Amino acid sequence: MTIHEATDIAVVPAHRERIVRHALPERLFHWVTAGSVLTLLVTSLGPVAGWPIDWVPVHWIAGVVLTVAILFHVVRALLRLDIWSITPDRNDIENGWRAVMLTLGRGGHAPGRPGKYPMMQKLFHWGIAGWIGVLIVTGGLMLAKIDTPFWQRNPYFLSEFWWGIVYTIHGVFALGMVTLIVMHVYFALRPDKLYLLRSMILGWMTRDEYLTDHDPRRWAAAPIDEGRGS
Amino acid sequence: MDYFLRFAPGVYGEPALLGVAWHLFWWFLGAGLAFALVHALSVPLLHRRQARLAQANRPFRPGEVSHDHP
Repeated sequence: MTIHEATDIAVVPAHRERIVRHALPERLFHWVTAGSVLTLLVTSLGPVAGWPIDWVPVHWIAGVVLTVAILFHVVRALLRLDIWSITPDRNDIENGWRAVMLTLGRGGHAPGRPGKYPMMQKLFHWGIAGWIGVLIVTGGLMLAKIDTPFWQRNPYFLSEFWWGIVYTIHGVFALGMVTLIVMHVYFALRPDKLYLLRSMILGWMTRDEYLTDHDPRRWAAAPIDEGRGS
Repeated sequence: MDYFLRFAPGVYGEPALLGVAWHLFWWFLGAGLAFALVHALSVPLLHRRQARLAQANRPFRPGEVSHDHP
């Protein structure tokens, strides 16, 4: 046992020791993204419902905030984060297969514990990343139709037909976001996974939660003192 | 098609595509809620079944007596 471990145990019981799950920049990114996506939904669907709000400026500014936040996340993911921890790997596929076989009554071993993220969480991450990517591209094109402090509108940038296509794609993916948000909120509020919501707010999980739901060989998490500032 | 998409008269009077029909919002919201409901109801059953089957498939430990084959 190292001096550091001995000190930890002396201060808090080992099972209550805090493990870093999300550093502050990732938490800020998540909540800025959540705020801007909800703002985008309210300012797009509110006027349809008859709410008398001047939605266009709020909508495009929220879209720009979302785009900047995602660019920040992409750069940080490439430079500072472990992008492979959120990418499905062979172990995930094997565990998924074991779970399916077990459920179908075909027997075999129980699936192993995941690393930092279970496979479904990884798939959801990349799915919603692509989904928001489509919204950003189509929304970016639509910026050509409004006057902003930075440019004059040019509605002839695309033909009437192509504007219809762009608006339709943007609308379908915006409505799809409603489904994805309901699913995301549902998983965040499940009683057995509330610690994940807490970790997205406060950044930490307990060692017990870490050892119960994660495989330390696949995710070498750091105690909170070591992870601070990372 | 009018159920899914919105059209308006174009510059020459032809129908021009405006975008998706907004009342579909309720279908997308319903899909999310239906998923949550089905998941919430099925996961406890699946976990119970997986645990039972995993227990049945567990290899015998040294010294353990099998009750299946006395």
